[in-house]
Amino acid sequence: MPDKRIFHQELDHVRADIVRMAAMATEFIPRATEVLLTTDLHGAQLLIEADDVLDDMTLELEERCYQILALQQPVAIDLRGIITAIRLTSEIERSADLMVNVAKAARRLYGAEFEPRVRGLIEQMSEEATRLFKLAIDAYDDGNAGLAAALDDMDDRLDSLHKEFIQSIFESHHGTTLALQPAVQLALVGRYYERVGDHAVNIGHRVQYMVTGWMPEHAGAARAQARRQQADGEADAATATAEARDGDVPSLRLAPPPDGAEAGGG
Amino acid sequence: MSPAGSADGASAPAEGNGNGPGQHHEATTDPVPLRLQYSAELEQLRLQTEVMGVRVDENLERTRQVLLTGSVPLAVQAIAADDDIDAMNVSLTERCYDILARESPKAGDLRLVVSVIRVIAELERVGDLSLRVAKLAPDHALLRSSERTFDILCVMADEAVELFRAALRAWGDEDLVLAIELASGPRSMDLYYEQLTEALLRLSGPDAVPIALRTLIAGRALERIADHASLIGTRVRYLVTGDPNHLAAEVR
Repeated sequence: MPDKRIFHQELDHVRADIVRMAAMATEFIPRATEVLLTTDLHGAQLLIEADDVLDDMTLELEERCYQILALQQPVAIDLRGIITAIRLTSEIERSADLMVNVAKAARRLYGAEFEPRVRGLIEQMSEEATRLFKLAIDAYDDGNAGLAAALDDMDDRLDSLHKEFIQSIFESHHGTTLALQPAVQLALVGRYYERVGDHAVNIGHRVQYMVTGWMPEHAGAARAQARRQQADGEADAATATAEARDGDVPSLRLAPPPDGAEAGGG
Repeated sequence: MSPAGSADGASAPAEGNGNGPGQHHEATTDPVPLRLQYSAELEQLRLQTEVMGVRVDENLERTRQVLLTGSVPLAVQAIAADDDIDAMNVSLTERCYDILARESPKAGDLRLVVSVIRVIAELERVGDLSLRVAKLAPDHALLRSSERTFDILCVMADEAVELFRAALRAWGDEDLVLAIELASGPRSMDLYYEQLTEALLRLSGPDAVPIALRTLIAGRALERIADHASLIGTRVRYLVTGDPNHLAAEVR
């Protein structure tokens, strides 16, 4: 029988390591932004090297989680804790990679001049992504399902900043202060920040599942079940019509999300 | 595909577990041997993941049609179908946790169960991303008004569908060669996305920004779908090889 005390120590270590890795990845965000805004090529290289350390930590932690799963036979919330850790490593690792992409973009943008508005928006997106990522990890560390759930709405701000950013690149490009290639690179950079926000939201979802056993897909599953029950009822009464079935789907869900797509873009 | 529970996964169910399967089956007179039942359960898990993948694929195909035609009824159908995909995700996740808690799988079996948990998350995400594109149905005329960028979007949709299907094949057949090919990350989508951005920036006129914002949503979603197909490849690679260096799919 596995020793529960040792197991809980191991679990605590895993949590501490996740938080440590997340802190590193969070720190990447302002660093990458600084590299981009000052075209600091040496800084870009340092960030790429720091990511190698994070990669190694990810591998080591994930392997350790598998060993714990195999040897300790956790159940219930402990089991969810380990699986959540495995999944969080991916979210953290991918977020760090996105910031490495920003640093690499700095190389391609070498010599390009940004308008103050474009610079300002990059800084704001960076701050917002950093804030979201920190909050997501706080939610994990504290097991705070409420905070985890709130990340969905908080991400809206980053989405609208991103929209504003794209617009500013357009204006800057058409005002001929920004050439086509740098404009393309900048548009790609905006997407990286937006995706870090998506990862923070994903972390929020995983934390909710870890703490409460609830996952966002439960909502869709409940709708699917309601529809099946209604369809069964209608079949029994032999009154089912195609219009009724179509009517089940709330048409407002089709409202286009042109500016802030729903959370969880991965 | 090796039968689940065979080879390196030949572990006995957990002993000493108060409510473990052993006790349950002694109390009842279930004639099915425990190992067999457990193996069948793992096989079911693998197959159900495939079924979920097929549902996502159907929705992805709907999405492609919505992109081409702007059909709102088809978009509505896709939105409803995504609820079924969510239901499969919930049910499969719960089954995985149940098996982990009840059977404490080892080696290959453990890899399978954890791989299922991760692959269904990728499938679910692909489903969500295809909805992002489907939900642009009311903006079809706007998307289409820029011929060049619309063409690139359609090519990206074809590519996304193709890569996703390759990922499903890699999972279903445990095809290591295909998995490695996917995991190495086909870069075509990145290039398309860059071309798309470039073409959008060349647009001018009052509709340029609205067209760009909507086109970029579709383009990003399609590019992300390809990325998730690549991640499925990395999960399959780890499932097949068991090499710890293949654990963290993202570390390339």
